[in-house]
Amino acid sequence: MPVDSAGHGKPGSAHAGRQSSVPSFRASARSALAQPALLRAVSLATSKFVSARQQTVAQTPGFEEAREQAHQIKQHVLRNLDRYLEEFAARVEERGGQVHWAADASDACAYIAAVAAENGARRVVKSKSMVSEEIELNQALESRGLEVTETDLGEYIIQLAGEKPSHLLAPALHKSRSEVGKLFAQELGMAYTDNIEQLAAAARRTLRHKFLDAELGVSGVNFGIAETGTIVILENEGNARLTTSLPRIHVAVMGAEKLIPRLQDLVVFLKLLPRSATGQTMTSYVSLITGAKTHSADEGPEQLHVVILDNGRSRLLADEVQREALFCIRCGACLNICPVYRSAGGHSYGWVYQGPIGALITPQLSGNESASELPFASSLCGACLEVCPVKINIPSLLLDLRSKVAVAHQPPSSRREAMLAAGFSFVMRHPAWYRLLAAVARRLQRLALKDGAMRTSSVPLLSAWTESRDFPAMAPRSFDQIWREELRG
Amino acid sequence: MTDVGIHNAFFDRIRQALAGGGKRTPAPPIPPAQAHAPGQDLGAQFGAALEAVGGRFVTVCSCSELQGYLRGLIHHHGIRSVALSDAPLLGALGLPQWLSQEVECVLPAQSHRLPFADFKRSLAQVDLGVTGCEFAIADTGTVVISSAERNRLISLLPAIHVVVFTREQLIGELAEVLSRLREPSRSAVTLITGPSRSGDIEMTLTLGVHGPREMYAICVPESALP
Repeated sequence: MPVDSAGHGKPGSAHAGRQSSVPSFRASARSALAQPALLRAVSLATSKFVSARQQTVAQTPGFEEAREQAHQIKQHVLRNLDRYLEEFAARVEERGGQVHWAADASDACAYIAAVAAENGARRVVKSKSMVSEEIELNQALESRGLEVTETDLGEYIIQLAGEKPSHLLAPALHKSRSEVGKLFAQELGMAYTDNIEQLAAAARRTLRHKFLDAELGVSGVNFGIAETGTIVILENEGNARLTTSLPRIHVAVMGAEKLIPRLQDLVVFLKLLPRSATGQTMTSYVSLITGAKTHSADEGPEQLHVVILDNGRSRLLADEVQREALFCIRCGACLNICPVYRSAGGHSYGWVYQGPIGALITPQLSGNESASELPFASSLCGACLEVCPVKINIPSLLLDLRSKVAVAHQPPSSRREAMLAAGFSFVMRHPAWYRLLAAVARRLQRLALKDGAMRTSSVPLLSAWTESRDFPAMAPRSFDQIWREELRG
Repeated sequence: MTDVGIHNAFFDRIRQALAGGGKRTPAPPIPPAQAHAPGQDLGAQFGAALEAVGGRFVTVCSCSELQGYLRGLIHHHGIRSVALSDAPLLGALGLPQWLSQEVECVLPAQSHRLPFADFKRSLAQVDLGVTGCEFAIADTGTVVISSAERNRLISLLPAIHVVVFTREQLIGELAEVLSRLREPSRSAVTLITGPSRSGDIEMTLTLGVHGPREMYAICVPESALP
């Protein structure tokens, strides 16, 4: 648990997050940088998201006030999380729903598999849910012989391709229409086309059958309303409505942090989420689901199960600084605006949450050693804070996390770094030494110069710095020299 | 572990995490709803918002005008089958009887008494779904439907959705609707704003990916009711 400064979370305890490995950001980013088509797609998509958001937000009176209100509501909920969880669960149960408390991913998956087994369900349809990706639900259910179908168009493409989502909202943004065409031709047995309308229609036809046949539907939850036990799901395609209406059983998987106190608080969050995410004033559909159906003649599922997930969240909650990361409503605005995400793409982050918020929560939720370099994958430019609808101070949380990682890790080179720092400090305090060494360095740098910058991959010590940064060449004459020779009267 | 044991362990972790936390605060006050200007034409506002997202809005003055509009839709789209929700307004407008003369097949309210599995399969073959709604929100062009009127699937499975409401059901903004919904009486309340849409392939807008490709909202004045 490299970044667990709070002392909670004994290794191997039930609430430690997933342990599967998160690949190195450096390695993944390097491979992404070598794929120009991918980077073009990411850049196009993120630019569209950013300008759509800007346009809508500019026309929304009271948007700034709503951000502040949302921040306060989230802060309040998390400080009183136990109380709101009790209230929410009581309301869900009053309305005929069942609540399951899942300590970790395997617990959540086992419960959902048991619900399926008890009801003889074999076919599962899923609407888009990051938390189900987090717990790797598909793999867990498939390994028990269930058929699982993702129904969001982007997620469906990703599932057919056997890949991972590259964006919180647009999971397949890295795939071109011709790639999707080839994939559908191969997997759905249709003639190749790169016509987007036709591809979408083919997915609609295929998935309609899956919806009608499925016995169990799995959805995520955008907001859980404590006062009424209502689950709120936002979407544009209608697949979440189908998932939560057609099968006999609906299982909603919810991170424990997703609660808001009152139905009226939705006014604030519905103002923020669609605008921040896609620049829409409202998504096509917002479903408010309160319990299972009460009249046998009603439409909709007979059973509602709400799986409330910890999976590392209580560890984040215990850290008063990092707790703020749990405010996130998964809009994706920080991804779109982030220069690092835009240059490296979503897969570089190695897990289900990408961009600045991913750099923050992946190491902490996954509890994974190899993710500890993620907090460093940021320029700390602050753009993410400016667009965050719930005002999470991501740059400052990343800094805090960096220091925790550094303290926990004490890198092997630290003695060498300490010596370098002491030497640097000495030289900077002694002008004669400074001038002498600068003159020497100015002569020696020619050996390592290429195109006006240092290429020091072969120079020991310096290579660690220049591997991923430019090191500009020293000017032929120092300012001090110019001052003495020309400027001083 | 028993269910109680699992529950307690879950809450122990949450409470332990909060013990070192900040002071407990009262819930922030609910922001007051913005008063909208009196005399504002809610119908026009609703129509502009809905059409901005690809829906269609029309106000009719009489039953015969409503029938004329629907006949146009039926011809334009080659509609052969229609499903109607249980909304009392649709019955009051005489739509079930009238539609049964216009199209080959009408799934009337009674067919909902079919077992759910049969109902959903027959509905999946229907071209047009007609429902009422609880409210229409002018600010965003949103209609609010509730499963009390059995419109959850009729508004979703057919490729075309027509929603009919009266001028009295038009409301300024979401906050007002939520205060009236305070205790959601039925298991599903859905806010619908335009047709089904996706941008999942190359960020290109595609309509009707899972839900209706077309959505029409028709406002009838109370005076049109017999």
